[in-house]
Amino acid sequence: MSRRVDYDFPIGHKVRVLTGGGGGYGDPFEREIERVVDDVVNEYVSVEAAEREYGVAVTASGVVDEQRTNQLRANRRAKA
Amino acid sequence: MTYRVATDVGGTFTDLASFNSATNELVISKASTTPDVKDGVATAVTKARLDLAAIDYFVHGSTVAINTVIERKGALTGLLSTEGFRDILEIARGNIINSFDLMFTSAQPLVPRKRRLEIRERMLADGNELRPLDVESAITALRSLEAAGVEAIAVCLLHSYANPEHERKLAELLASHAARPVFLSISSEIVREYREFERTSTAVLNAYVGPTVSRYLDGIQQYLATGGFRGNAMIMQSGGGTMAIDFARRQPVRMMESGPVGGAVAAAHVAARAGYDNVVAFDMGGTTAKVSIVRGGEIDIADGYWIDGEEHGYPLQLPVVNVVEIGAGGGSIAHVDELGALKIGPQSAGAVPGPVAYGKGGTKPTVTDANLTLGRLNPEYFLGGELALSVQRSEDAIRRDIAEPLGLDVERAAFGIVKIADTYMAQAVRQMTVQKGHDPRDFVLFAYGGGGPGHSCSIARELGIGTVVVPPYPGIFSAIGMLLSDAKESFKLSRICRLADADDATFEALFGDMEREGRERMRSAGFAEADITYARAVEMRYSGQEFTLRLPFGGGEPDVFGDLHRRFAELHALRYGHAFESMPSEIVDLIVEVYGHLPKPVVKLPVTTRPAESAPSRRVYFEDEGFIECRVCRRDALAPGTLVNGPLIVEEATSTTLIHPGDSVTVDAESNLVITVGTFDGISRAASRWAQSTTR
Repeated sequence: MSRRVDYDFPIGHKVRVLTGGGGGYGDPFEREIERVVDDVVNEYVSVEAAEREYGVAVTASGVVDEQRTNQLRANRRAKA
Repeated sequence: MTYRVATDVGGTFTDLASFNSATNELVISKASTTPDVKDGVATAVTKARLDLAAIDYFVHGSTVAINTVIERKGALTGLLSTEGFRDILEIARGNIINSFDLMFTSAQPLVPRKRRLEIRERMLADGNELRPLDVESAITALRSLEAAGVEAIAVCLLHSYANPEHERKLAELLASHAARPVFLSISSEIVREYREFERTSTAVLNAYVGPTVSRYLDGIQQYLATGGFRGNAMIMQSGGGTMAIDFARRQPVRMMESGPVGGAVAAAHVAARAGYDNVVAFDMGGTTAKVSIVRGGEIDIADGYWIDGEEHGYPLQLPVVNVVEIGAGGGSIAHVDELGALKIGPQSAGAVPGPVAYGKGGTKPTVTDANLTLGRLNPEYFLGGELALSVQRSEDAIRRDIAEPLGLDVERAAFGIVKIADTYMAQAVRQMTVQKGHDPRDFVLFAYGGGGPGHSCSIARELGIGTVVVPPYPGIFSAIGMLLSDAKESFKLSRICRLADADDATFEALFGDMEREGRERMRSAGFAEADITYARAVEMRYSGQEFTLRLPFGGGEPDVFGDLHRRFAELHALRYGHAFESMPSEIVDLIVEVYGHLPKPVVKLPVTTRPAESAPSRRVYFEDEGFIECRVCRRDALAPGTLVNGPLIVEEATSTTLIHPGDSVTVDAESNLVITVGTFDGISRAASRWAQSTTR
């Protein structure tokens, strides 16, 4: 996008801009589970991303699978 | 509407003023504010010996709405927006208020994202429908908000200011399908002006405070009904004027600043009668000090306003009196901070436990304790002698908490407290004058609130203001302002239209609709046709501009739009120093204000012939002189035209006026104390002190 200044958008076209989620500090697998859940229920983070990026198994409505979450986080620690 | 009563509930005191237009009798009383507000109101009513059944008109002002926001204690709220717009509260505006603060974070939206849901529908800016309202998505959203346990739902759909049809339909759906009662806040019922973020924020604020304020107003109404009240109950609005209590229950967001505006209304009224155009209205109560401005006889009303400040608060797209409020009142607590600096507030001892001197359990020294220690307050005549104050307790607390930690004697410590409070309040006045391009020397300072008259002379001196006016009944002045307020309905409608394309018939119809709605509300509040007046105005800009200027609309001239273009150019030249003859201009908003007029009380004190010095003199502390013997008189002993030089203390039941050495006071025909401040003397003394300190 940034290389060009002018674009023509015919009527009816959509413009979709995807940005990163913003910088963070520390290991996402150590982020407090409640805060990850909060991000999921507010739809800032998808259910899939919560599991993949944060090691938190949670449903869209915020129910945490604790056993699976512990396992995900333990696996990651074992790998490190 | 012969017999009227106003009650103003502050953080510390509940003030009452009543006026009987048949007898011209004005009665006042003051009570402590209680946790259940109606108890304080009831005490004030009893003290004034009023019979609720005889009252025709009851006006009430309170901080309940704004406190709910500031303390973030509002209802669990949901928001319904047009599909694609749920994040408008978070996107907000791009400007950063505090750009040098690396840790800056903007306010958390009052509604978190999970309770912000979208409705499939789309209205266009010209008021035409692009996509009809999808009923199913509305019901789904309602059900999920109900499952989340919301008590209030705000609705703000795109371009509903241009065509509110979808919002109306949605409101009906919500009301008829809701499983249990929920407070509904519909943007187009509150504001018909464009700007999505501010409009949404206004609807959300209304929903957020709605349940709390509704319960509060129910309590007031119940109290009135139990006492046999059958008149009109009205609520003070933030932008001046009163509204019916039932309307306030639906739009509580209009009563956010209902206290401060009362004082400003009273200041403008008294100032006009006494011949002052420019007034700094300075109100120091028990919890906070507030500053507002009257210029050219008009109260400074802002069209947009930030509740809880621009940095951490939420915008409100309604007229609100421009006010700066700071945590410096009589009850503000003095303390030595971790760096050893003396600080005042913002914590307040409130009414309970109150200052140490009250002997009601307060242990932390307050501004009132400092004033008492300095002899500036009379321990036997506080609230007219209702509450005996203990000088000993005040001194002990100041010695323990301030004087000893700082290595000062008690007098210097107490004076330090007062001086810091004065400086802090002077800063608030500066913010409303100097920082807005007004020279404070062109203003007179109106001092009211229980504490205002005791601090005003030193604030005036600091700012070079030459005249301080203490109006009659300063301790309950905001309540007086509520009695002086007419009922008011304001309407604003965005309708962007080039002047060249504007036609009389369309505008007449739009103005007419708003006037009819206003007339209906006035009639249901008991006003006769003869007492209702209307004022039309428009907001205009050059095509391509963003911000507008307001102009009165129409006075029967043959070429109303041509005349508008000429007057707009004149105003633009006056405000910005230039105008463009040939550039097309446009109308952006139509404004109608409808007033229900009431007879005004004469705010004057009875004249007495008692001798001037009716109370024993006492020792009072002043900055340069230290403790000196100071004459004391009761306010009702000062006859109009008397001139007395300071130092002098003027006592009345609800306030104490302090006139410093070098200042003088007289009483004008309107019963105002008019103090000539020895400004230049003060400045030269300050300058010589400074010279001494630098040559040392």
